[in-house]
Amino acid sequence: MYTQKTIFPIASLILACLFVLPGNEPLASEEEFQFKCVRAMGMGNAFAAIADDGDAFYYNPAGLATIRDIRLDIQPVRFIPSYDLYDQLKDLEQLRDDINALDESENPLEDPNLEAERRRLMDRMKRLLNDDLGIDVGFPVRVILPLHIGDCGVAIGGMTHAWSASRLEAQRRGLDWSDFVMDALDDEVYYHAMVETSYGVGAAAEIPLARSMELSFGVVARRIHRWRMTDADDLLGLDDILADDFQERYFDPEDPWASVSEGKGYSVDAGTIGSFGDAVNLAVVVQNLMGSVKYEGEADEELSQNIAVSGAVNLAKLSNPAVPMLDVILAARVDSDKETQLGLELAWNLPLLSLSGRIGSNRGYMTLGAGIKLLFLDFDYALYGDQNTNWHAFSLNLAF
Amino acid sequence: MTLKSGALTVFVLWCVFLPGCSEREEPTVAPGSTLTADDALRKAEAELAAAGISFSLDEPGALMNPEDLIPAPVDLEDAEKQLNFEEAIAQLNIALAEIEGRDEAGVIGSVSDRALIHFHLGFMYCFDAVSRLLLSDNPQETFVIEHNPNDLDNPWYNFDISPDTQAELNATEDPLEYPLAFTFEERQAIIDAADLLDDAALKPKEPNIQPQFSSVDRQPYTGSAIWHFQKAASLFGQYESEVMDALNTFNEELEGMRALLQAHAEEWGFIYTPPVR
Repeated sequence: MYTQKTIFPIASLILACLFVLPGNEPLASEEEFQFKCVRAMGMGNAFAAIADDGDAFYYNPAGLATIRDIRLDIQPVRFIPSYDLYDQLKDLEQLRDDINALDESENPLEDPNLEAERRRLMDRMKRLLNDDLGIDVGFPVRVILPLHIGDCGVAIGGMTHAWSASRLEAQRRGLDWSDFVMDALDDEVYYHAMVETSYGVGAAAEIPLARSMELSFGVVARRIHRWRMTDADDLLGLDDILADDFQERYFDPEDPWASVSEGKGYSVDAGTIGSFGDAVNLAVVVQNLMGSVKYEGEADEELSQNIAVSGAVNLAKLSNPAVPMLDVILAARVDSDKETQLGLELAWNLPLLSLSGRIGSNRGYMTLGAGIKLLFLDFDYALYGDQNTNWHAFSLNLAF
Repeated sequence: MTLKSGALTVFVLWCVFLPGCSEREEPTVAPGSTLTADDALRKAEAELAAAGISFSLDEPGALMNPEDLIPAPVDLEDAEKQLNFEEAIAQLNIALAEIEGRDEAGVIGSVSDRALIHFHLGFMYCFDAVSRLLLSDNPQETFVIEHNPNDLDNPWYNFDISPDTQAELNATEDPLEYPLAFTFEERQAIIDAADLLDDAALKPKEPNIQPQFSSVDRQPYTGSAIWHFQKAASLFGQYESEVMDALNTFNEELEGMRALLQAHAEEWGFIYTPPVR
């Protein structure tokens, strides 16, 4: 067991890593369209040094080697709407009623009896202009087959998922008119809709380095098949809607699917985790060590490489003697964009039930989470903030 | 876990998470504008609000009820409001100059913003002209201005002179001396109104009547109501030719007002010199 004296040099190492990594300008779309797991989201996505379940395929393949039993993860529910979309969906019934009432009127614009309906519709329009509508749904399946002999171990696994992530947001442009209609005339709309299917294999190994010190390393390779539709390079404005070349630049309103770009590609992630007793993990992970997606008739999409250093300390295991049935995991991750993610998970582990609460900071945006694990059912919720907006995230995982 | 470890945990959490919570801040100035332009627009809107003018379009059907956008003449007969218009025009021109500037990507402002400012300026010039005419004839009533916002066959403002003034004109033997039926202030208001509406120059036909010059041939007044509305139509026409056609129909409304002013001015003994277009 490591003492607090030995922890301080490790903590210093983590802190040093925060300042030595080279920085690049972050691309907003990269975090946006990255497959995330709800447990990790609750703790600021600072998960690379933990990665002790099927999510290791996405956060750090070296974590596969730390899994001791054969494991099958099926996640039939993974639903992540943005706050704004969630709010818009909540009063959808009212919107439908208002539209029906206006539709049935012979003079919908001036009928004095429909003033409230018109007002609500305009208020909703105002809200929409400030809203960030996003939805992320997915269906991942992972299987991990570990083999451990003594302190050494290997694991192989496979993953597949069907995933869709979309976002729609109005971008403010021009003079700041107090009248929202005038203000909105030159605003532009950003949209990005993406559907992906992916399958891949991962392999990891764990070797002992010294007493209570192990090193794990792993790699995961994925085949990616992606469909996307976006105006990220040429945002859509009112003048574009009226322009003659609208269909060529954006989509055919009568057949939007015809404008979807289809791409195929691959990505390879690699990572390592150094474990110091039960209490401390240090990790380095390279996401998209190699990777690109090729679209027909369009420029290839190079998947941006990201190197991250991460650390996790289980404070409950640091105390002497260790606190039974309790995990208090403090985790940090910093990547090559010099973006920092921090998280804390408190878990109370009973024989058949585990309850956990999480808090985190994702690049400075607050995250919260909670989880209940009952037998093979694992329900997680997260309230997740990123540079664009806030999200509700729900998942139900079946872990066998 | 000991009390010491618990306290350490709380301290670490406090250090780590509290300072780390960022706010998503909208940029102060959106692309396509400048701080000066936004500030000038805000001041212009405040001046318009003070004058009781609202061009709000956020009630569906606002454009179906132009009487809500075009104030009644009696509401414009106010010296303070006339000052509000002048200040609003000055601020709108500042905003326009800013967004018509260029940066690496071309003209800073969007087509719609430039068109909307021209549109506002066009209205301001009209209201200012009406305001000047109505303010000039106190205490007696010389100018009679009717409000016809919904009458498609007549301009928004139909103006004439009062029966007393008409009687005075009729009693004047030499038509060249008709301008003398108006006071100095009234003649000035007619000259200013012609300049505001049409950039036209007015002078009495009779050379012995002391000529007067437009008091709005200066900053911040540039162009005229017609010029600003034509600019707005031309800019909106970049979106869609049908939009320009619709706005040109709207401009014919103003042409009616201009033609009426020209006809009356010539009846009242003035030479009306329209601008070279």
